[in-house]
Parts: sequence; structure tokens; C-alpha cells
Amino acid sequence: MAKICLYFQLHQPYRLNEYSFFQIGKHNSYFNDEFNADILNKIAFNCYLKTNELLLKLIEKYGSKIQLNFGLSGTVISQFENYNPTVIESFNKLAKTGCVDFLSETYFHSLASLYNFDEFEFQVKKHAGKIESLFDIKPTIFRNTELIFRNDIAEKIYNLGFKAVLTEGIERKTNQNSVNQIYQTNQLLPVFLRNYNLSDDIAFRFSDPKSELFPITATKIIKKIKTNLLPAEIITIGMDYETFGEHFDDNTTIFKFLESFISTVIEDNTLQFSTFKAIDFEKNTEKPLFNSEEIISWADTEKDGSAWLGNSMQYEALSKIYELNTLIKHVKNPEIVETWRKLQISDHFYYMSTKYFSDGDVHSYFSHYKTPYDAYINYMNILSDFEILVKKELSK
Amino acid sequence: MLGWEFPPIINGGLGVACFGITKALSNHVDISLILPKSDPNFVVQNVDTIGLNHFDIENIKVKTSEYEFLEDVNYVDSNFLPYHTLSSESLETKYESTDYTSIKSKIRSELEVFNTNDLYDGAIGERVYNFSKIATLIALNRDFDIIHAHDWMTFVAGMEIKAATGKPLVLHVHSLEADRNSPECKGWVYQIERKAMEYADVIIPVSFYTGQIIQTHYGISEDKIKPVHNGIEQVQAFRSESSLPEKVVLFLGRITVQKGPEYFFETASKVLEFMPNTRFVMAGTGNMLKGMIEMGAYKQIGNRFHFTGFLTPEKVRQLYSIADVYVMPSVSEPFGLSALEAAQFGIPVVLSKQSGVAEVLPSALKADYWDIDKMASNIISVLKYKGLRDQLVKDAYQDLAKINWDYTAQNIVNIYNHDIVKN
Repeated sequence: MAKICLYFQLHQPYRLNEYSFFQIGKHNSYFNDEFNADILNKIAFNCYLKTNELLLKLIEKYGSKIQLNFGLSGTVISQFENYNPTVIESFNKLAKTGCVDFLSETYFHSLASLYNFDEFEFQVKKHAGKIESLFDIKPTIFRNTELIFRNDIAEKIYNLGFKAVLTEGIERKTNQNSVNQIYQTNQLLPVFLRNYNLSDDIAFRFSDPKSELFPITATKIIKKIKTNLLPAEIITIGMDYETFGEHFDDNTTIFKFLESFISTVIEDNTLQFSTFKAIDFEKNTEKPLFNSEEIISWADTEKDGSAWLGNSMQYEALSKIYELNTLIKHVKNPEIVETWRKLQISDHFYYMSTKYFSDGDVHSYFSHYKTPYDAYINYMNILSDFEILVKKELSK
Repeated sequence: MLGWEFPPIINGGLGVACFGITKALSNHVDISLILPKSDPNFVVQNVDTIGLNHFDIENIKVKTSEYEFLEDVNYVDSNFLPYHTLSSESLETKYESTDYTSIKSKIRSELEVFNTNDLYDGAIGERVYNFSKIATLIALNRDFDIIHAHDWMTFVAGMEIKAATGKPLVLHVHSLEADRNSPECKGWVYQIERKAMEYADVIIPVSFYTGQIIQTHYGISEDKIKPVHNGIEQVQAFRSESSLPEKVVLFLGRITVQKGPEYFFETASKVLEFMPNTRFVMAGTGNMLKGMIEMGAYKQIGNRFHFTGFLTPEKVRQLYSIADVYVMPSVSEPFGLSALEAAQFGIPVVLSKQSGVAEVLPSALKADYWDIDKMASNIISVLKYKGLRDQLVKDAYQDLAKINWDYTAQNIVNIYNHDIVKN
């Protein structure tokens, strides 16, 4: 039986206040709490709570035949705790069913894996600690921010003791071989690959009339799996959890689709849901090698690092925040250190992407800035202020 | 094609744009270009250029009977010209004689207004009026399909020719009275613009921004407004070693209300509070220049704020080559070619949102012209953050790659072919 690994990602950044050059040195607050709370509560209402409720209902009906994987960034969790604790309770109910697993990542959904391994390790451990304390589940499968992967990161993950890693199923990295099987890194760490084509049928093209499957139904997706993908070892379908109710609202029948998809897979005798960690890695020791010297990720069509490291603004901003590490090491004030980490959230750099900007194509569905330049200026103003703050702290 | 400014006689962007459009369009269509003033040494290939400053009525082969149209012109005149006061003489009486020799001599005397160094001086009304009559005369002796008129000075001629020939009228709007003065200004130039736009078949503003003003301030239906952005000539850009140790922020343009010089001044004061090692250069001349100089002295930032007066194109390029930021704080700018020139020289551009060029330069930083803080913050960010500066310059080159006069001409030809209902 082919295993279907469903994986849902939840993340919300700490969006920044508008911070003008004239505020540098004044140490006004950096994070727009009100805006962040509004967005979180809106999505909690549209998506998180509704979808959790639906899944709980289905688990009640089908029991352990449903197996799901969740990835929750630390910053979304801390915002749940501050603005909407009922979402945590709802995830707790899911955790208690024994039907879901939680994946590991950096607490701050950061790019630390590309800049500083010590910081990366700190954030991974902080995240694992948080997940365990909330849900009593120790994460054993690692997925990096936006599925970023590179050989050196894989080695680090292996050394941290993870059982497997999840990344994007990019054909150029599998020599056009099937992504629906388990690979392994140089260190023999098992690699799960997201089937982006299948995932995007749902996450991107659900209401796209140009999609070959439109209107998309569970039957069509399962037919596609059976016709095109089987026989297969494992099929990973991963997407933002916000797909359900937020990216596509209730009117698009996205919830009906999810319910119908889960029921149809369960009733099918050739497919079976699984968590990643329940997969028997040892069954087949001869796994093909998966390796990449360059950054790969699930972002944009390039599926590389260019969403965050595509232009000189992003390079400058990122190198500046990580250079501060040399000062931060000596800072005792935990609030300042926490702020440094919140400024590492990858979204800040994503907003600065100019990739599709000049084509008028609004890369900015996820950005509240008018232009990538505005995003950069605002961030750099805050960073300049923060640097002064850190130096003041150290001279105390 | 009816133009007003044309190289080498150029006051501002209009002449540059008119030349760019005419030259590129001549690859697609046959053009007769009528100008109030032209330099016979300046030849555009494939364009039949007629300058009224050296136009001889005898050179035009006119059958005597063809002068009869003048009666029609007279009739049309009285409909369109809102400024009868220009001439105490009634139009009806002007050509009522059937003695064509005297008509010719009359025309000859009317042509004299085009022997001038300043097409915009006090006699502009008379010039516009005579231009329309003589251009109509010339047009009636030619075979053509479309009338294409650039800005209000030629709009009256455009209307006359349409009335006399029934040919479709295309108005190209480079600038409006609503931009040059306040939008509330509804004087006779505004009246000409509005009447002409109502009468025209198609209006081509140089930006969507201007298209919007044509709808809101002139009440023209969106259906016949077809914006086409200007292009730009490729230049050999260069950088020079600046003799100044400070960063140079450049303003270039007529120093008039429309260009927002006082906002540039306020912005400069704000920037200097935070970055004293900056110099501001205001290049150009205009009726607000004196006031600006006085204000600089009054605010005691004169030592950081410099006025160059009028500059030759060569001097302008030198200034571009040492500038660190180009600022265009216009209150209302239909296009703004100079911003593209600055971008060609690899200077980051800071624009007011009230400008057409912003539509083709996504890589420019923008602020409302009145938003001094945002404007200042944009300038400071460019000067302070290298990553931003590098990115803006790089992105601007990409934007520029999509802007040229051929592209402009093709869009105009598409309008000729698809949006003009042929009679």
C-alpha cells in the first residue's frame, strides 16, 4: 500500500511597525502587535479553528486511519498563546488523539541554517522544547524554514539526532527519478520529498479554472495519484494550513474537498495515511542519494534561495542582522536577545524580494508593504535603531 | 502631425517627446509635420516638416478655388476659439475678399508671429490662432488620414482641420493646464483643452495618471482615452569624480509651482537635520527661482543648497554624472522624462506619486509630493543604505530596457488601427 503523508504548515511572522528614519535612536516598539493580533485572529477564525474542528470530527469517525503531520513555527505558537489560546487547546485535542505528529523547525522560522549553525541549533532546540511542553510530543522529523535544504544543513540535522528530513521534491535533484520514494543524504539520513505538483493542484490551483483538474474534487486527485503515481512508496502532499479557509474561503468548497479527500483515501484499499515518523525507514536500506550543494526550497517557481537571497537589499539586511551576533553574545537582557531573533524571521527578507515586482506581478500577496524597497527601508531603520539599543545595553 | 516645440527649438519635455514620437512613428506611417517654427537644417528622415517661420505661401500649389474653404474655416473658428478678444477684427471680415492676392498678403503678415525666439511670449494667443488657420490651409492641400495634435497650442488647429476635412482627430496630451496651474484653474487654455478633447476622436495622454485627470477634471469619457507612455533615447551615460566630499541630491526642472520646488526645499531642510553632509542642487530656472534663493538664505541652509540657473544639455549630463539621488517632487507631472534620464545615469530616483513616469519606473521610491517626511526618508535611505542604492539602480536598468520610442510608436499605430473609426 502506498503511504500518503499529509503535511500542513502553520506560520505567522511578527510583522514590523512602520518605523521611519527619524525614529532611529528613539527605541520605539518594533512589532505591530495590534496588526499581528488582527491577522492571527482572522486566520484562526477562517482556518485554524475550523479546519482543526473538521479534522477532529473525522478522527472521531475514522480513528487512527487518519494520520497527519503538522509543522507549527514557534512564532505562530507564541502568537496563539498571546492572542488566541483556544487554537493551542484545539491542537492539544488533535495531539491527544495520537493521530498527528508535529515536525521540528527553527522556532523563529528563520534562515539561521544559512548563516549561523550555533544559532540554528539554539532555535531548533527551543522549538522542540516548546512543542514537547505543549503537546507532549518530541519532534523527530526535521523540516527547515520553507523546506530549505543544502548538504551542510543536512549534516547538521543529522548531527542533531533527527530521524529524517523533509524537503522539496525537485526533479533536477532526483535525476528525474520519482519523488515518491524515500531518499537519503550523504550521512544516510532519510529524506522525504514533497510532491509539489500534486500539492499545488490543491494549494495553488484549487479554484483556478485553467487547472486541468478544475473543478478539483477528491475523486480527481485520487484518480491522478492512481493513474500517474502508483506504484509508489510514499506520496507527500504538503501545504500551508492556511490553504483551508484563508487562501481559499469557505465558498470555494475547500473544506468539503478536504473531508472528501480524507474519506476517499481511507476507503481506498491501495492508499493509507501515515505520519513521517511511522514510516519504517529500515525496510529498504538501499535508498537513492539526495544531495544538493546549492540551496533548495519550496519557495517560488525557482525553488531555491532567491526568495530571501535574490537581491542586494536582502543580502545586506541578512548579513547585518547575523553580524550582530558578535554583540548579542554578550547581552544579558533576554528581551533584547529575543528581539534579535524576531528580527531574523524569514518573512522580513521575503518582503524585500524584487523578483516579480517590476513585471507588475504582485509577489506581494503575503506582504503588507507597497514595495520591496519600503520593506527594506523599514527593516533597516529598525535594525539601525536596534544596533544602537544593543550598544547602549553593552555599555551599561 | 501638428507640433509646437521641436528640436533644436526646445523649452521642455514637449519638444523631446514630439521628436521621439515623430521619428519612431515615421517607420510606420507617412508624416507631414506642421510646426510654428522649425530649423531647416534639422531634418528628420521620412518626415515632411513644415515650419511656418519660413513658410512661403507661394510654394504651396493651391488652385485658386481651394481658397473657398476659408469660409468654412471662418465658420468653425467662431465655434472653437474661445478668445475672440485676441483680435478686434471679426473673422468673417478677414477673408471675405475674393482677391486672392490680398488674402496671400494677409497670410504673409500672419506668418510673421512665427519669427520669434519665444513661442510662448505674450503673443501666444495670436500665434495659436494664426497657426490654426495656416495649418488648416496646408492640410487642405494634402492627402492624409489622421490629424495628430500635440498639446493645447495645436489643438485649435486640430479642431479646425477636423471640421474642414472630417478626418479623425487624435490629441496627444503631454501636459495640461490642470498640471501647470491648479486643477481649479478654468481659464481659456483649459477651455481649449476641454473643447478639443470633447471634439477629438481619441486622446493619447502620456500616462494613466494624466488620463485620470482628463476624466476627472475635464469630464471626458474613459472610452476615448488611450494612454501611451513616452520612450527615451539611449544615451552614453558616464560617472564623473565629484569635487564635493558630500553626497549630491539633484532637482532638475523648471522652477515653477508645478515642479514642487518648495517641497524639495522643505525636504532638503529635513534631510540636513539628520545628514548634514549632503548638498542639494536645484538646476533650472523659472518664476520661483528668486523666492527659493531667498528662502535658502532665510533658513540658513544656503551653504548646502545650490542654484545653477539654466543649464545646457551638456551641463545637465555632467550634473547627472556626479549626483547621488535624483528627486522629482512635482505637484502634478504628466510624465517626467528627466527621471528616466537620471535613471540612465545610474542615479536612484525619488519621485512624487503624482507623476506619470512612476508608472514605468517601479524601481523608483515614491511619496506624495506633500509628504516631506516620506520624501526625506526616501532620500536618506538611498544615501545611507548601500544595498538599497545598488538594487534601485539595477532594477531601474531593467525598467529602462522596456522603455523606448519604438514601443511608443507601435502603441500609437495600434490606436490608429483599432481605435479610430474610419469615416
